[in-house]
Amino acid sequence: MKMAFFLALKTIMRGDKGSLILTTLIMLVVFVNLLFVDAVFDGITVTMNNIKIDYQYGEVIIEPQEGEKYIKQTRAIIDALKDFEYVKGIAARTATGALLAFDKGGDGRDVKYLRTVVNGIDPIANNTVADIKSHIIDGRYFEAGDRGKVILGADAAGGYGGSVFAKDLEDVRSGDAITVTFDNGVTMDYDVIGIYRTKNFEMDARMLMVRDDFNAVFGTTNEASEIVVRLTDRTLSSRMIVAVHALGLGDYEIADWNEKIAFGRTINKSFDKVGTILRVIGSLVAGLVIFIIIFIDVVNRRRQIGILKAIGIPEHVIIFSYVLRGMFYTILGVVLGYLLMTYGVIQYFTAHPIDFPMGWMVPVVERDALIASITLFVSAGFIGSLFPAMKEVHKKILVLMR
Amino acid sequence: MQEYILKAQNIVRTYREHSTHPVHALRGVSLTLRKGEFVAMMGRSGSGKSTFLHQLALLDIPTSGSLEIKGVDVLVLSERARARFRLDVLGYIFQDHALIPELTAYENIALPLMALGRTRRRYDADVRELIKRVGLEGKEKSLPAELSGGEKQRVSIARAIVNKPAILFADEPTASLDSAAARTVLEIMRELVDTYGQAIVMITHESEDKRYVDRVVYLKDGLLVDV
Repeated sequence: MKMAFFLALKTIMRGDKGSLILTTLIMLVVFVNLLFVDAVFDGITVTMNNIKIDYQYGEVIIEPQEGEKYIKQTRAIIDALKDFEYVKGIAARTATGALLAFDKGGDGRDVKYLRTVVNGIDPIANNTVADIKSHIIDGRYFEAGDRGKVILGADAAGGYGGSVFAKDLEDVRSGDAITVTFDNGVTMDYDVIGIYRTKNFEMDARMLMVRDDFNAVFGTTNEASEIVVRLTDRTLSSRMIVAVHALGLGDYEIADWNEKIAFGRTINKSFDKVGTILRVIGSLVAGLVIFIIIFIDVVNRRRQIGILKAIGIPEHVIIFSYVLRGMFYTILGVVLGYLLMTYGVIQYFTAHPIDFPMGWMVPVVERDALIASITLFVSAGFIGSLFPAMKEVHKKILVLMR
Repeated sequence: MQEYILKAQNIVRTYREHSTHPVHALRGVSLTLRKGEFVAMMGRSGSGKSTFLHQLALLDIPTSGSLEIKGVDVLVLSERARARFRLDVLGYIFQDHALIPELTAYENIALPLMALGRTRRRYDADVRELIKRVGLEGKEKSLPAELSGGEKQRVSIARAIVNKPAILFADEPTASLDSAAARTVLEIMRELVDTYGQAIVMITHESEDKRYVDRVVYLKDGLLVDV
């Protein structure tokens, strides 16, 4: 084996540098391609999870008991939970269904209607769990003392680009007025002061109003439809749930983000399947590329194989030296590909996320996917090196030396 | 009477691979070789010299016949055992040097010893002594591309004899050399015979090479002939 290492090392070190660079470059590109496909799928999954957590559910969400409309004693619960050191934000939201009406011409002839969810929020507290303020695309966020004012999600307002919904209010802008008929039958007029887009399509189809206005309509005071809790670390959600139960709040529906995004989980599973298929196809392509590269390398060195055999170097030593060469190219491709992916591609997309309908996607290299890709790539490299080397080395000496 | 170190009897080599009509390259050639004997093999192109040398050096397998080297029936050996036999017992000098381009002169020469599993500590002195003997001092670290034709052939000779083979085969070792370099190579080979009792079978086209050898055999149309 020492001999095989020696031959592989010397031929790599003193061989044609152009071939070495080209071969490594091809391996690098093939590996980055393999990794990138996975990273995009993982990135989409992470993005979808993030927008659900960041704008809708938080890490933990507390909802009313079954059959109840509201959580009672909301302030007391918030006061109890906000003292936990790993709670970085907490807010209560009230929710109701409502019919929004927008009469753009102001003459009652072309009124647009949209049935959607309306949330009553404390603007400051809500921004600690869902940073809507940073996602205002037209107008402004709520300010202290705002009453009779609402902000609309871009998918409800319409006219702000692609939407997953077929129906919207067809171009409401900040400064327009809308009429809202709540589920309790109360109808009110509001000024739209801002439009937001978070890319969470459920949130972007809603209307937000200040909690005092909501209370005025429904007569609520200390109730909430949900309490959203943000944690310093997503992995602490189970701990938080245990703590909530320990506070005697176990009668409420308490869920972490993972339970709430069942829809996302289905998509994630689908993406996982597609990702696995693409990974296998990518590995086959990688294996074929490696096979071709090593095969060309071996064929170009056919005479040298003949010389080594003529001297009396055992065939398995020659084969192993070529496998080592192949593995060197493969592992170099993996290392450089990983570095390029981590410090090039990911950095680039972090600075310039891809604008997907479901969020701003940054490719993510997940540990498991990375291990799977490396395993497949290295296996492909091994097989791709072994078979051409075996095929050539087993030929007759005089055939090799022609 | 000295024992034969090589005994080839009635060697036949027929090629069928790329022809519907078999090509009879060797039609039953016999040759014996003693220790310390330097034999030249001559004949026209296509006479079967190289084919015969390939059979003797175990680079090819005859269609029929028998071949004994150092008392071993080498034709019954497995491919793996034949490779080991080549490494232990035989040396081969190719016409075009056949050096590994990425290895230095020193490394090319040491290759068979490394293949035998010897450590550098064990073979370094032998290799350096051999380099001195073939006149390549100062060229140890040179790659083949940095050597002249004569120097490459001397590296090739050194590599062929570094494991002290019982028989050295040489396929026109001076064909690509100028006369001075050719003379040096032949003198080295003669010295191996005279000083170390090396047995050598060499193919040559040059009649002046005859003065370096003990015996000349001629091949014609795949048969040994008397001249």
